[in-house]
Amino acid sequence: MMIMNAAPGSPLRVLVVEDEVKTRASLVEGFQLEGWVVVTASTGIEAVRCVNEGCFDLIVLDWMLPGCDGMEVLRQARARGHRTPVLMLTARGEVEDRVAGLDGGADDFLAKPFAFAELIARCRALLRRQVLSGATLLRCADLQLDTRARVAMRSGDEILLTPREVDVLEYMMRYQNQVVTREMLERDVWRQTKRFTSLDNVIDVQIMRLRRKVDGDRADPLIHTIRGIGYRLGKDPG
Amino acid sequence: MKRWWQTRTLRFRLALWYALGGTLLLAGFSAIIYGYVVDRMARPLDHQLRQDLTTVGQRLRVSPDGLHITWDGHEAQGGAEWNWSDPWFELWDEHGRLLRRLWPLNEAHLEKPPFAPPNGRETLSVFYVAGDLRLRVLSVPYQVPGHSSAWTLRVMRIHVPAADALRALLLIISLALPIVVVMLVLGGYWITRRWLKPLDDVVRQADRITADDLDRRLTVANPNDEIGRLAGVFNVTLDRLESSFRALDRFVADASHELRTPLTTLRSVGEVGLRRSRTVEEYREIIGSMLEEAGRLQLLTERLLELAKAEGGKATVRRQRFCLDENVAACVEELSILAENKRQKIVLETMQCAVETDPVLFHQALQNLIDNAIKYSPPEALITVSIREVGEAFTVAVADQGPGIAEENRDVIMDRFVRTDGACERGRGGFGLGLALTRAYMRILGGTLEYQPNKPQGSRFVLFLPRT
Repeated sequence: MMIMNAAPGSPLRVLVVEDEVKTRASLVEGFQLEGWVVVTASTGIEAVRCVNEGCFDLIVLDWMLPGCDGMEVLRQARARGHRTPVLMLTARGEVEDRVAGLDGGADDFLAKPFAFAELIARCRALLRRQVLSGATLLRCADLQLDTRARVAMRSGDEILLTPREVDVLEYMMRYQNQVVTREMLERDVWRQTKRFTSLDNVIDVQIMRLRRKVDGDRADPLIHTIRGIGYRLGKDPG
Repeated sequence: MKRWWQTRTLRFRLALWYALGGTLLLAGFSAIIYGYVVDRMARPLDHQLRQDLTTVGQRLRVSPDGLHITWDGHEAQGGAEWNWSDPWFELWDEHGRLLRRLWPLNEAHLEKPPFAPPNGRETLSVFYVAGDLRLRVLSVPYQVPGHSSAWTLRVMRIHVPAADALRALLLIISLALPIVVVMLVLGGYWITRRWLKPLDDVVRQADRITADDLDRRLTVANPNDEIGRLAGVFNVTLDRLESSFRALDRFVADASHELRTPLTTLRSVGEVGLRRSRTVEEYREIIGSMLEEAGRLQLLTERLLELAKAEGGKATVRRQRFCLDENVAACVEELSILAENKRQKIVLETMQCAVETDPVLFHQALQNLIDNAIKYSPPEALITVSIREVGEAFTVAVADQGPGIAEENRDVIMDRFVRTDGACERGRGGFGLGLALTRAYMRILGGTLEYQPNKPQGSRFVLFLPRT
């Protein structure tokens, strides 16, 4: 929490602990594209050393590591008083593991395989939780949404939305300029706890309608489809 | 710490107990019989002793001062001149002194003269006075007229209680006892072996069952006895084991087969994409297409795992009480947007009802059915979702006006990876796992999934859900 208040302008420092070379490389590149400074570790022992030496804003920690596993790294870090937010990655999606990890001091959990868009969204949420939860009037370009009155306006004209459309729009506006995956929408907006029957079609249709209402035939669309990943709300298509 | 017999077979231990118990029981029984016979045989003698007592009472006279003891009016003298036909008896005074012993025996030849009788009460006993001479004696208090305390009168007779017969009895017992015990041991061993033989068979059969032939079962000779029940329980365990092994096998087979398709697409799109240089837009398109395929692959793997879990009985069930109608309405509401898109109409025939089951599993099961109905119905069709109460259960039926299921396909539609009438629309979510998952979930919840043709056309899938 304290580290979060780093001087404005100084880049965020992230420690990535992951033993799989390709995954690690793609995480590093993805974080660097966000403008973050990335330090990597590939074993648990290395990770413990990094945590003790460096000062990080966020740690992305794989559970399964050679040497000592992620839980052990987390335990040691917390025992030494490091309060840095930790996001754990695990190949096991079981609830029990999740609970064990959160009890062990992890701040969030992401099961493999995951969409990078979701990882970034979670990381940002951990870094600036208050920004995501606080505001009631959300803006993006000439689109604005009053989350309390549940009224959306584009260029001063009110857009008539169904309750579900408001939910989706609010979620996308909170995550604006980031890619939102179908899994995120399914879990956070539709509150579907299992993904064994598909709401993907429902989500696609819902977004299509929302886009028709929000963008219409405008030359400056705000809702973009990112093929193979999900959707993004923002001025430019990214 | 185990005792030595606890390391032996059940059969051995049972035989051992037969032997021990049988021996003790028979020995006790024989002792009782022997004692009873001895007692019965002595009874005539006791009767004679009582007669002697009467005779003595009539013919013996004692003066009040106790100094003159007369037998038929003469001073009584024991020894050789005592008449053999007269009763034999002794007189003891209150201090335990022998006053007279009246019998025809020469006391010098006796090894052990009779000792003093207990004073003041009637007793019956046997004692030896020589190696071959045993006496049975009856002592009674004897009141001398004019005397303050009682003397003791003891009548005696030679005790020859059918000694031969008793000896024979003893011989019979001591010969029969070991024979009977041996027979008990052998018989016990034989019987236990016979009774425990099915157990040996069970052991032998169970030993032959391995992971490869889990369809074998133990033969149950008599389902009512303990061994039959054991075999029955073992068979049930085998059933469960087999079904979870089957589920695993199927998962491996399905996975290797069905995962190849998206993997092939993934590879070929990537490889073809790299064959010549393209514009950035084209590359984006190719990577996007590969990601889509990867997403499908992930979804398919997750569902296959879930199906394997559900069918193997490992899915976690969190039962709670909830309103079935609300759950169904939410499900319809969620998917209605898809129906609207095809200008289809979903009609909900509902009623208030509460159930106690896992709402998430039920929701998923129903979602699959409604999703299918929308997918397979033509535009502007009518889909009916209805809740009915049937005894202690509810049915939730989803009826559509689609093409229906051909008669020959009805048995297989609920199997995995079955897509009818070339509905091989492998596009969005069409894995052919929906009905299999729904059926597996319903089974977990103690319900069923049934297919009925809808009249005049279409399909009707009925979820049968018990109240609890």
